[in-house]
Amino acid sequence: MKRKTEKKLISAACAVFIAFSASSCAGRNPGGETLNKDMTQLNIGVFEGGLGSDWVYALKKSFEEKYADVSFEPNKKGVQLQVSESKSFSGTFGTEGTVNMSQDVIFAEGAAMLYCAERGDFLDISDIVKAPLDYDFVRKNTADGGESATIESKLSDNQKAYYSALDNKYYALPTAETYMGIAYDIELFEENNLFFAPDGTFVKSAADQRSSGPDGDPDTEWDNGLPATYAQFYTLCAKIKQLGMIPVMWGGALQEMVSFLLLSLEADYAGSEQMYLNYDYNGVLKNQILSFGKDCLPVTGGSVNISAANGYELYKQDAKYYALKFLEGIIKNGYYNVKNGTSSSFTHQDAEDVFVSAKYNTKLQRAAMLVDGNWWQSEAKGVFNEWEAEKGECASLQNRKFGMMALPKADESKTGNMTLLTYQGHIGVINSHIEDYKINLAKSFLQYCYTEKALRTYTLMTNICRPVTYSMGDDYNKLSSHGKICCDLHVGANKVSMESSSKINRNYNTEIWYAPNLWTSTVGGTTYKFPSTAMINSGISAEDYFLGLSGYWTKGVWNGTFRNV
Amino acid sequence: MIKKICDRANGKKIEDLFFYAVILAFPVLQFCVFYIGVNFNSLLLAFKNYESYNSYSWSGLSNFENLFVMFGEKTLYAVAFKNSLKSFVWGTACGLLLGLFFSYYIFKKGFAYNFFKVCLFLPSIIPAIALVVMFKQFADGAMPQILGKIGFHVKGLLAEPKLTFGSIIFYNVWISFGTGILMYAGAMENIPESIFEAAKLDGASYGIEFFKIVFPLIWGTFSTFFIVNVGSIFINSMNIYAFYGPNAEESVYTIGYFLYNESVKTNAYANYPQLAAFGIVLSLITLPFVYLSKFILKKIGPAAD
Repeated sequence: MKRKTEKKLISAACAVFIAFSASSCAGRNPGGETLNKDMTQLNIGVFEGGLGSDWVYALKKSFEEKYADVSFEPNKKGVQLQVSESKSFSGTFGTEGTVNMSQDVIFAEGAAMLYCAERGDFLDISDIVKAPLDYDFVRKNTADGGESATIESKLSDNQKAYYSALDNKYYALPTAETYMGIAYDIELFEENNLFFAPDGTFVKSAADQRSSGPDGDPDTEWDNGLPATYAQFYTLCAKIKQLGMIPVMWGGALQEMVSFLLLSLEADYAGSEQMYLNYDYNGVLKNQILSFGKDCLPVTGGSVNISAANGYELYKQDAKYYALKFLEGIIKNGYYNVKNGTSSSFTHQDAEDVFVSAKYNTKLQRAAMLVDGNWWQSEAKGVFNEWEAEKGECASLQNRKFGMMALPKADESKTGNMTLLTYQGHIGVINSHIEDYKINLAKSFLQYCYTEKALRTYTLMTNICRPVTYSMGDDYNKLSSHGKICCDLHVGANKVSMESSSKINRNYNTEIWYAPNLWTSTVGGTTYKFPSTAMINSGISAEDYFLGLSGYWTKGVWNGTFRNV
Repeated sequence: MIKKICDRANGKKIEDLFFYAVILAFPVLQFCVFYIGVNFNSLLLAFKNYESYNSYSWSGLSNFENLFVMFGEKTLYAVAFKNSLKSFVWGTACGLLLGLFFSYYIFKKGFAYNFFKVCLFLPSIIPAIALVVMFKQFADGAMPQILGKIGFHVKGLLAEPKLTFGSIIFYNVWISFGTGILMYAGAMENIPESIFEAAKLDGASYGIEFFKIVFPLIWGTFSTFFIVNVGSIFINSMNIYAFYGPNAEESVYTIGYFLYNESVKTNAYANYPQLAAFGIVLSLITLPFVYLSKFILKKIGPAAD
C-alpha cells in the first residue's frame, strides 16, 4: 500500500515537472526575445552555423526604428524582427521546402538555390535587386540622402547570370564570401621571426623589411613576408617544426577541409577562367597533364573542348596535380598534426580551440597554421570569449592577431594575384509562402541588408565580407587582423565561384561542388576519397593520386554518373 | 418473431461491418499510399531519367544497363558487397548467438544479471549519434593512450585503416544486443516453468537445459531474427552515416550505407532512378536467399512437439 502511494506521488511529481517544462517552452519564441503583440513580427531565419546571427541583431534596432510608426496589420504598429537559427536552412530545405517554415526572410548556407527557386520556395525579388537602394518598398517612395545604387550594380556579371538564371528573375542574393584556406597566427609569426625577408631568408625582427609575398607586389602589405612558393612554405614549416610547434593543423575528423583547401590551391594555380570549367563545363581546357617524364615532372600540353559530356577530361588538369603536390610535401615531411591529423575524435572545432588556446595553455602544442574556412573565428568565438574573460582584452577575438594566408604558388613563375575560390549556396531569400501584408516589409529588410551601412556592419560582426562590391571606409580600422585580411582579399583577389546554372550543376549540384566528391581516386585497385588520408595511411604519392583521378573518372563512370546533362 | 431476430442480426452485422470499415479505413489507406504507392512509384522510377525539377522521362532499361557498366568500372560495389556480407556474418555469428547466450544468462538470473541487462540494453535507448560520438572518443581518443601505455602504438581504432571496419562491426554487434535480449528473454519467459522443473529433476545441466530445452523452444524467435538479418543484408547501413556522415572512405562502405547516402544527398533527385534500379536488382538477389533460409530453418528446426 505504501509502495503504491509512493509510486503515485512520484508519477504526480513527474507529471507536474513535464507540464511545467512544456509550458515554459510554449511561452518562448525562437529568438528568445519576448513577443511584442502590439507590433508586426518579421521572422528572420539564419542557418545555424559558424557565422551565426549576431549580424542580424546588429541591424535589428536600426531597421525596427525605420518603421516604428508604420502599421502593417490592424491594431499594430511598428515591426519586431524575430531571429531564429536552424540547420534546416540548407540544401533543399528538406523535402517540403519552405512551405511550412514560419520564417519570412531566410539566410541559408549550402542551399540548392536554383532547385528551390524552381520548386517555388522563394519569392521573386527582382524588384529589390533592380531598384535603387534608397527606394522604400514599404512607403513606396524614395528616401532623401539614401544610396542611389542598385543591388544589381554591386553584383559581378557571373553573379547576375547565376542569380537570374530562371526566367531572368532574381530569387536570391549572395550573402557570404566564404572560402577554405590556411589561417595563420600572426603573433606567433612575429614572435619567432617567421616572415621572409626580400632575399629569401627569414627576417631578424618584426620591424625588418619583408618579401613581396606570393603576389610579388610589395604594395599589398597583407601578404608581404609570407611564403611565395611551395618551396618557401616547406622551409617555413621546417623552421616551425624545429621550434617544437605544429606547422599546419587540421581537424582529423573532418578531412573534407583539406580537400577543400586543395580546391582553393587548384583555383589559385589554374586561375578563374580555367577553374570555372569545373563548375560550368563549357570552355576550353588548357594544360592537361599528358604524362610524367622520367624526372617525375609532368608533361603538359594540348587543349580540349570541355562540355558536360566529357567532364572527366578535367581530372587531367595540371592545377589538380600541383594542389596534391603541395599536400604531399606537408605530409611526407610530417609538417602537420601527426598525432591527431586522422583521429575521428579530433574535430575541426577542437583544432580551432587548440589554435587559439595554445598561446595561454602551455600543455597544448602550439600550431602556426590552421586549415579552415575564413569563417573560423566566428565558429571559435566562444573560445576567444573564455580567454578574454581570463586574460583580459588582449586575448579577445578583436585583438588577437590571426589572418588568412595568401596561398603560396607552385613556383616563382606563377607569382601573381591570388585567385579565390568562393563557396556556393550562401543565399538570402524571401519565403514565397509569406503572408501578403509582410511582403514589402520583407523586401525592405533584404534590401536593407545590402546598403553600404549594413554591409559594413555585417563585416564588422562576422569578420568576413559579403560577395558584393562595397567599401569598408573608416570601419576597416575597426576590424580584427583577420577581418582586415578578408577585406583585402575581397578587394584584391580574383574570384571564382562554384555557382553555375549549367544543367549538370543544377541536376548534380552536390557532386559538382562538394570537395570530398571531387578527389576520388583509384590507385592500385583501391579507391580513396581523401587525398590526405590516402597519403598519410597508404603513402600514396601526389603523382599516383593524380593519375588515380583519371583512373576513377573513366568515360564510362562519368557518363554513368552524370546522365542526361 | 424469426424475421425480427433475422433483421436485428442483419442490422448488427451491418453495424459491425461499418465499425470494422471505419477502424480499418485509415491504416488501409495509409498502406495503399505509403507502401503500395511509394513502392510502385519506385518501380516506375527505375525506368525513367531525371530531366529537371519534377520532370522525368522514360528511359527503358538504360538505368539497369548503366548499373552493370558501373559494377564493372567502379570498385565501390565490390567493396560494399563484401562489407555487407562481412557485417551479416559477424552480426549473425556474434550478435545473434551471443545475444542468445546473454539472454539465457539474464533469464537464469546469473550473477549481476540486472547490471548486465542495463549495460546491454543501454545502447538501444541512447540516441545513435550520441553513442557514436562517445564511441569515437573512446576509440580514437582514449584507446591510443591506453594501448600506448602498454607498448602498443596505434593512431586509434577508427583512425588505423586496418582496424576501422572491425571496430565498426564491433560497435554494431554491441548495440544490437539490446533488442535481441529483449525478444529472447521475452520468449524464454513464456516457456512453462514445469519443463525446467522436470529437467532439474532429471539432473540436466545449464548447457543441456539451454541446448535441449530453451533453444528449441525459442527457435521461432531465433529463426525470425535470422531471416530478418538475411533480408536486411543490403539495407544494413551499419551506422556508418552516424560515424562519417556522407564522407566515409570507400573501404568501409556497405550497400546499405551507399543507398542511404546517395538518397539523402542534397538535391540528389537525379540519382533516384539509378538507385531505384539498384534497389530492384538487390531485391531480386535477396528474395531467393530469404525464402531459402526460411525453408532451411523450417527443415532443420525442432518439431513443435
